Amino acid sequence: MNIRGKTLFVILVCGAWILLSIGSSLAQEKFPGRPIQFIIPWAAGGGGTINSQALQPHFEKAIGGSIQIVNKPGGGGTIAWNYVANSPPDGYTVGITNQSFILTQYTTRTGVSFKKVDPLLMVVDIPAALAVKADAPWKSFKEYISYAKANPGKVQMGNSGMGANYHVSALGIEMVTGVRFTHVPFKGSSPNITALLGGHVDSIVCEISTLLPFVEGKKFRLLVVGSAERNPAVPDIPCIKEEGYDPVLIGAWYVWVIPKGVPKDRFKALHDAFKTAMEAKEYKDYYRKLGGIARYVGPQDMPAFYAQEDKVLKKIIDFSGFKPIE
Amino acid sequence: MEVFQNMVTGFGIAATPMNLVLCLAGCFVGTLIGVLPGIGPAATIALLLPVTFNLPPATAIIMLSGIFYGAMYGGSTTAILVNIPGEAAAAITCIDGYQMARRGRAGPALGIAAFGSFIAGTFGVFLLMLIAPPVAEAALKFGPPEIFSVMVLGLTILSYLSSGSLLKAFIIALVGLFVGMVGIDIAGIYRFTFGIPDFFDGIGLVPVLMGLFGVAEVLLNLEQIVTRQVFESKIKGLLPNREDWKLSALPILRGTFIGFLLGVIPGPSNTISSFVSYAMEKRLSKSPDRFGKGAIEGVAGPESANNSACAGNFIPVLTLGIPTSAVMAVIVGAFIIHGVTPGPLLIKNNPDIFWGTIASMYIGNVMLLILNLPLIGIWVRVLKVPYGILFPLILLFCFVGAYANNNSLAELNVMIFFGLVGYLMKKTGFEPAPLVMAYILCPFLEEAFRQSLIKSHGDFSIFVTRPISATILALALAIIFLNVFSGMKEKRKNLLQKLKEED
Amino acid sequence: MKRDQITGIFLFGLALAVFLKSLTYPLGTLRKPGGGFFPLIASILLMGLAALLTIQAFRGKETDKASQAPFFPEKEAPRRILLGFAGLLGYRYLLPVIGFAPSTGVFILFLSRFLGKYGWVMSAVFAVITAVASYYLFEVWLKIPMPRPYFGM
Repeated sequence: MNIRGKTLFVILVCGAWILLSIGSSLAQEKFPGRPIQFIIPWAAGGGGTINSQALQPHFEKAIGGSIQIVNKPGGGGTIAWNYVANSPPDGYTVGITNQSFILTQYTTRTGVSFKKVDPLLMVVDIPAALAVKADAPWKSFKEYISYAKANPGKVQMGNSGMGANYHVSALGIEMVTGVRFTHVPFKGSSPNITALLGGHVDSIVCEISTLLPFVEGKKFRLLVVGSAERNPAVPDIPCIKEEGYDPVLIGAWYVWVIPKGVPKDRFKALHDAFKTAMEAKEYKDYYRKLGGIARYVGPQDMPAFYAQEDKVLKKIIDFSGFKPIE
Repeated sequence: MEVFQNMVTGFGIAATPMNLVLCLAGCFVGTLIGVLPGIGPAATIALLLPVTFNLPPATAIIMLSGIFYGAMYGGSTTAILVNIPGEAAAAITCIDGYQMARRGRAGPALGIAAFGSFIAGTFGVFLLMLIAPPVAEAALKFGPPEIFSVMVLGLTILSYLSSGSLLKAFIIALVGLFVGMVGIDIAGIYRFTFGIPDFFDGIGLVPVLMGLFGVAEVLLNLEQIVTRQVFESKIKGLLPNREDWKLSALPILRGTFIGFLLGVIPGPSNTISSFVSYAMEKRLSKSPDRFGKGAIEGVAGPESANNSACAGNFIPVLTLGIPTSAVMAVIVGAFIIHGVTPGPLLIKNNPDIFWGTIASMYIGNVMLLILNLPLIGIWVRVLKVPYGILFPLILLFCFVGAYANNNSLAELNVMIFFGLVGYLMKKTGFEPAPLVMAYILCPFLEEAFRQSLIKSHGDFSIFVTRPISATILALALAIIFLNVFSGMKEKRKNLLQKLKEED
Repeated sequence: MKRDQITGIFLFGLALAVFLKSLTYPLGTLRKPGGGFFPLIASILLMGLAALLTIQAFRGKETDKASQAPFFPEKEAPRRILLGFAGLLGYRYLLPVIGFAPSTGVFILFLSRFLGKYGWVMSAVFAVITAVASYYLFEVWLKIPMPRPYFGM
């Protein structure tokens, strides 16, 4: 065959392939006909991946299909969230969000408004806690705060990134108690923890699940838990409400979302599958050991929840005067 | 002697049939993904984690660690064969390893990499077994000022990484710094991102490596009619000969120590250790101009270093539960999912897992050596495939690797861009190694610098009043001094020579 | 010589651009460096070194072999390199449109035919085998999520 003949042949083959694929997607009756993609905004191995894997077995059984965990890290999570918000609303793309989802609206220029996606449900709530070294001089939150008040700027508070969850938590403490810390930033939770272990900072805020092993290993002491009630994993640590302050310590809740416009039956299928998975005994036990609470907030209540979180977080951001610079 | 008692228990656990089989499986998968560029151990371990759910924790950890080790072995394979580093730590192996392959000595290069890795890895595990807890405690003392000093030390060896013009080495290193500065800094400012969210966390390492080394090399070869042989067809032996061993013995030894010590420090320690080893070997060699043209020490040293660094990496994980890199973070996650908390209580609560894992590392190293040696014959044969068929496949692998890294199409653009950059660099006399080194070090260097100053409220003495930091900086200074000194000596010698000749 | 001059000038320009951009970031002070501090210092250093390189090139100083060798070793070379880039970019932009396997096929076909100098038949065979094999290896066996085509597959 001559060149033209061959080119034509190639085009025909590609065309046939494209037609077949359109056909097959149109012909798909049963949902899910192919793996559902769980888009995780962080690198493999972190909390988002772990949550997906904890949900996976029961979810797959409940929905009658398989899932594919896709890590799309970057941009503080905004790459993944933008991707999910702009994905075709066919029910095959779901994303996981946490407080950063709300925060990045204010800390970056590529943040996604929570109004742009449809929340499915909340699956877990892991509160944060304030930790100091086990041999630190402060034995209670009160002692710590009075020291910090008397010595503005002297207490070194590590965080996992400026503008990220735990930095904002620390700012929250400053806002409600009137103290001033010196914020030492690290890239991620691990270096943050290492810094406290090595005594390079005085205190850190971090989610309980990560802190627990060090508490049990007698390396850290928790001063307060950042929620409205005491945490079952550490029952003798007071919660911040008891101390007389509003819950401002930002922990980690995970809420699964999908793009707007997914047909009602698929929405329901996804929601029910998630709910079944999070009610599984193994899931609940797993998180309970980590200090997390398998808390359910349904799609009807989510918008109000998001709005509430948004209000609290925005207040702290405004207090700190943080602005995205590019 | 308690240690040996524990090791016996450990071997008892590691040597059960199931654990042995899965260790082998892990090593095999690890080697495979190490060879496939860009699909890194972190992603694979995370991917295979669900598969391990029904396995007992010790078995799961053994299998996943095998993947990690295997990837290290596999990464050097592609570096030597096609100039594509399987991961950053293998980048330095490209320099002399690939040159050896082009001269028909791929076999000895692969062989010495395998043997060196084995010796260093085994020794590293041995050290791990004996001195893990105290080393871990010492590593904790490395705060921001110490990290800064280590990075400075890393930069001082930059001059050794290039065999060409020193001026150009520094210039391209500065360009590397620029590349490293893209993205969010520690104050939360997004620098040089031009609004592209894919760059917010910096320009990815994998696409840069793929482009700079892999794509650029293919482009350079394509210039000439592809029927020409890129690799010399007469294969000169499959294994390192006596001469090779003589040259490599000390580099392997030195590499092992450098790797292990640096592996404990958080950060890009594996990569730094391989770079430091290369620089050290070049400095200590009696014929440094062989480096860059296929000197086997340039493969033996770095490969040993990055393997014993792996053992070093495990120390903070097993004793403190802190990961020092992305891969380790996934392994920590694996522990947690299986209900085992790595950390200070691991050795007390789950001694079987602790010692079983260590024992399996020995076994894993042996398995990898046995796996890789026969493969050398196959790999060498791959090189005989006509380049016309080979190069599209190489490019395909680069694409898959760069994409799969973060599921990002933007990173493909980065790869293609750096392919162009690498191509131009080669034409204008710039070498990639200093760029890569600076690019990797820059974020840590700057971060540590600014963190230290935040802590000390602007007081510079923090770098010299802390003992560890001061020592390292002094070492760096000494190296710079030595360089200048020997450079001056060299110039004086040449001058005297010239004067003599004029007489 | 001429090449080094161009390179030097280009690098100087690059450094200058970085310098200017880093001024737009908070510089802070030496004691409390801001985001713009490091880029500023680095760009100043590079401007200096690039200037040095350019001056040396103009002065006619002997440099390394690589920059003295002819830029393109063969007459065919520029065309081949351009084709190479066209192939790379084409593959990259085809991926989200027709998906992984078809794009791979087209890519391999293009490379083999125009750069590998194989005939149409050989190239097509190679392309199809590679596309199918990579589909099975990467998407099915290794379960790596590859770019999905516009029409969903």
